Amino acid sequence: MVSFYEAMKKMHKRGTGRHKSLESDTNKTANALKDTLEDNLRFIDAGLGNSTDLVIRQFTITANRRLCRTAIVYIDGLANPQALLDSLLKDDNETRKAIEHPEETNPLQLLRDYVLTIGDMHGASDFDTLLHAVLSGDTAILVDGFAEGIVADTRDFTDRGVTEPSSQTVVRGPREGFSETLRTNTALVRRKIKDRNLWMETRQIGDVTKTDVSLMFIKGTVNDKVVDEVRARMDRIDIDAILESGYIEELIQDDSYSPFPTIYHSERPDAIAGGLLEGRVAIFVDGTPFVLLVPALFTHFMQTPEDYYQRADIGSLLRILRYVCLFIALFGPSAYIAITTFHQEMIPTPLLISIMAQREGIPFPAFIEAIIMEVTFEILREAGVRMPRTIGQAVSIVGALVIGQAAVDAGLVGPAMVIVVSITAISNFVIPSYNMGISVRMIRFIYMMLAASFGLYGILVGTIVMVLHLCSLRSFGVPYLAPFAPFIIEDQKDNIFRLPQWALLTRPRLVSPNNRKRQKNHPPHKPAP
Amino acid sequence: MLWISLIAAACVVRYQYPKLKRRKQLKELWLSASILVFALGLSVAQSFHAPIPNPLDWITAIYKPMSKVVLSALS
Amino acid sequence: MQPMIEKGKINRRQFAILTMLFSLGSTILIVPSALTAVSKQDGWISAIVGVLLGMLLIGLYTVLGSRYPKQSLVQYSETILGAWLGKIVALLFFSFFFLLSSLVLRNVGDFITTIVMPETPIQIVHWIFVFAVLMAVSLGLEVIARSSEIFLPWVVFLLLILIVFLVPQIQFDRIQPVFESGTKAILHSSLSIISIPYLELTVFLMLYPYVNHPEKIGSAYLKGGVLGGLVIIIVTMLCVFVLGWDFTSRHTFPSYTLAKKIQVGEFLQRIEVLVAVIWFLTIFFKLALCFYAAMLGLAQLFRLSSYRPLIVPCGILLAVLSIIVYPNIVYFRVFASEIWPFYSLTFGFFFPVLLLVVSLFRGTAK
Repeated sequence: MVSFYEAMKKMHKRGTGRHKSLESDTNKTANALKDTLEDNLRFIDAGLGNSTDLVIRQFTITANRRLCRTAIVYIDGLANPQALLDSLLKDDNETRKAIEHPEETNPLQLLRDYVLTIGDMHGASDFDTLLHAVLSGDTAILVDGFAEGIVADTRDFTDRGVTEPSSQTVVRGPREGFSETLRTNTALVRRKIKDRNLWMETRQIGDVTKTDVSLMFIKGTVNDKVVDEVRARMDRIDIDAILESGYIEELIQDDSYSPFPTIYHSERPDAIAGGLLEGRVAIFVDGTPFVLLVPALFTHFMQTPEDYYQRADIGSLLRILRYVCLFIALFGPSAYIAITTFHQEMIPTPLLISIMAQREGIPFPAFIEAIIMEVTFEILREAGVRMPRTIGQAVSIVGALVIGQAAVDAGLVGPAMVIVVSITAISNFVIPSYNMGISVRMIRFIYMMLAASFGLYGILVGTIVMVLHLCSLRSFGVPYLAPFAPFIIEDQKDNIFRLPQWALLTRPRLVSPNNRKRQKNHPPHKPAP
Repeated sequence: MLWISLIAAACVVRYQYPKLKRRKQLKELWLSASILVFALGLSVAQSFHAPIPNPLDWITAIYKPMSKVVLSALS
Repeated sequence: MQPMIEKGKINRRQFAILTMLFSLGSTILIVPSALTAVSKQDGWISAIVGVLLGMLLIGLYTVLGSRYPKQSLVQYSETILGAWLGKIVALLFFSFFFLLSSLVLRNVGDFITTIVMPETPIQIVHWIFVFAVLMAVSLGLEVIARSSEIFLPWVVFLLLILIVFLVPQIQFDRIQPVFESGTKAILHSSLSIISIPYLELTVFLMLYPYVNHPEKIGSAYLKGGVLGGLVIIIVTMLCVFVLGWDFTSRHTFPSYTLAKKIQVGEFLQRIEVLVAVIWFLTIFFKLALCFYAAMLGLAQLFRLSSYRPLIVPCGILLAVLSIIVYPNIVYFRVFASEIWPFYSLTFGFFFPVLLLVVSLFRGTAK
């Protein structure tokens, strides 16, 4: 018991990065490039353990009538140095290219200024930078006799490409989804927001994976304190690997013990662009199409970008439907258990008689019935996710219906319970954000236990506790339940209802304290007769 | 229901008191501990159905005369 | 200046909502019965008289509170009356708030074990409620205020259901003959609504320093108190119209009986448990605020840096006290109608007036 507690404490401390390893400057000088080409290449080869995908191509170029032994280093599969080699070696007359620019004596500077045709180039003078660049897909150019190298961007690896997002599909709206490459993703967002104030910062997080993580925000609209807070929290991260944005989410979120998500994620560029325009900060993680959006409030998890593309009336009605489904998903089974166990008088008499008749032959109390059905549904749902595509569909639908029916016939559960559980499960899928959906799934079980023990009183006290918890949550300083509580009247136009575009005059008050106005006030004119 | 009180008291002692001691908040510690001991004592007494004096009785004793006077004036 | 124990801030709208929910609290459950006990079918007139007098009381509290906007009641007791006397008065106020909390908790327990779930032992019911209250108080005033904003629409919605669906069952002649009981009886009955909740609204004097723009609290205080009072008047009238004064005065919880009468067609009946949600929510906020005021007061009295270490020990004490406080419902009804008005008069009228007079006399104002 004690050791488990100690282990939890240690993990908590580690996650919040309380002991960060410092990189000292002495490391840098110890890693400086050597003077001879042979030494450098031997160091690189040994450093990577003679990995077979490391390619070292040596050649000689003539620079200012002097022969220089040169080598390029790259990783096959990550880099494509063709353009680089062309610019260094190819020449019209089938003779080795001779570079003549007598005013420049440093061959590396000569190459950078006059020869190389790659766009993105840096100098490197220590092995850490060089190896990091090579391992990211750049090509390193080294010249004999100089303790300096050039690193050129030649990244060319296979990517999934821009495809339709699998998780947040829409009927109307763009079908682009993010891919696993950071640069593609940031470019997709830049295409939507061509404002010069859209700024981007990149850092590497993860000691072993050295994953590129980018921050994007619109300067002037975003709350600078939030940006500072995001930067501070990301700097505190001290972990060896970041494989997905979920890692970052868990490491920087406000309250790790709350079942409710406080950071929004999306696969869609338009959702992220919409969030940026509201004054939020987007966090891109290389290697995953899921981009984080911060700060995230409860209402955001119940909204989809499609609300804004369809008409205002249908958008509002769908949002109301989602909130209704949220209640059904949370309270469905527990309300049924409470009413059938403690408060039977609330059910209209004909229905009551038929429910009681059904429950006659069932050996279990309502709570056990509900647990059996709910757990079965959870099993079916998880199995449906893991199954190979061809069988998966059949199992979920057939499984739900057939197993439900068979359970009823076997006398294990009543048909009313099957209906309640099915409606609950389907309502759960109406919640647009998957992470809010899973929170609801977990909390539902707690409500079922409360309902079984204390009926509606238990559910009510549970609701009070949940609401108190929600009211105490903050997402990067913004109260989680805004604009419900504190009730902000001007933000209600985009909360449960979605007023038409011409009425959405201001940005949400607590998320973007600067730059509130979105547009001038111009209600639609009727066309002249 | 004594066990609920005991579990609650145990949680407080386990989780809150070390923190208070560390932060040298001795006044809070002493006050909290004395109220805790008093409350637990009463809980134990209650679970053994020992007769506990009721504060409402004292209040009734104090205010009964005033009540009699005013209410008879109003009826 | 003493260190700020509570760092949260609430705005005036939240203050008004809290005042309204507090006024509804246990009032809506037990007061209609007391209102009709002596003045019979004129109970609603007693209610109106009581609310009007309650408004005056709120005015008194506003005047007192606005003289010391940065200090809570416990703090300016010491400022006004000096260290010794001020501390004694503060301690007395603490005991008042604490006793009030235990009585309110007992109300909930009685209600549930009598009406909703008779098989459940009352201590379990109390402990569940205490758990929620302890959590609320430990999360702080801002969280309590925000959750009141979330729950308010539901309370209003259920109240509307109660009122609207009972309108078909009103029998206007039940209110006749009007004014039969006479002024004395009406005044007698109005004592019940004055003592619950208006004299208890001193609790909000503990919250003054934590409200934005304290100069304008008065209107929020008044708005909440009046709105709550209005609901009580309407519910009492409905009780008399639909149930008749004799039923109302005999039942312990006549508003529940009222809810039982809701019938819409064949399918929406016997939903009184849903309407009971109104009582639970409002009593929750009343209890949370009373307990919060008690904890805050105790911490300020002893100059602690935070009230959090006190919460669980006082919670245990609260649960124990709520059982001790009365052996049966008869004792409670006698106590509530004969003794409580005068006990709460001490704290809701006498002490505030004393503080105000001495403060004016000494000219100390911040």
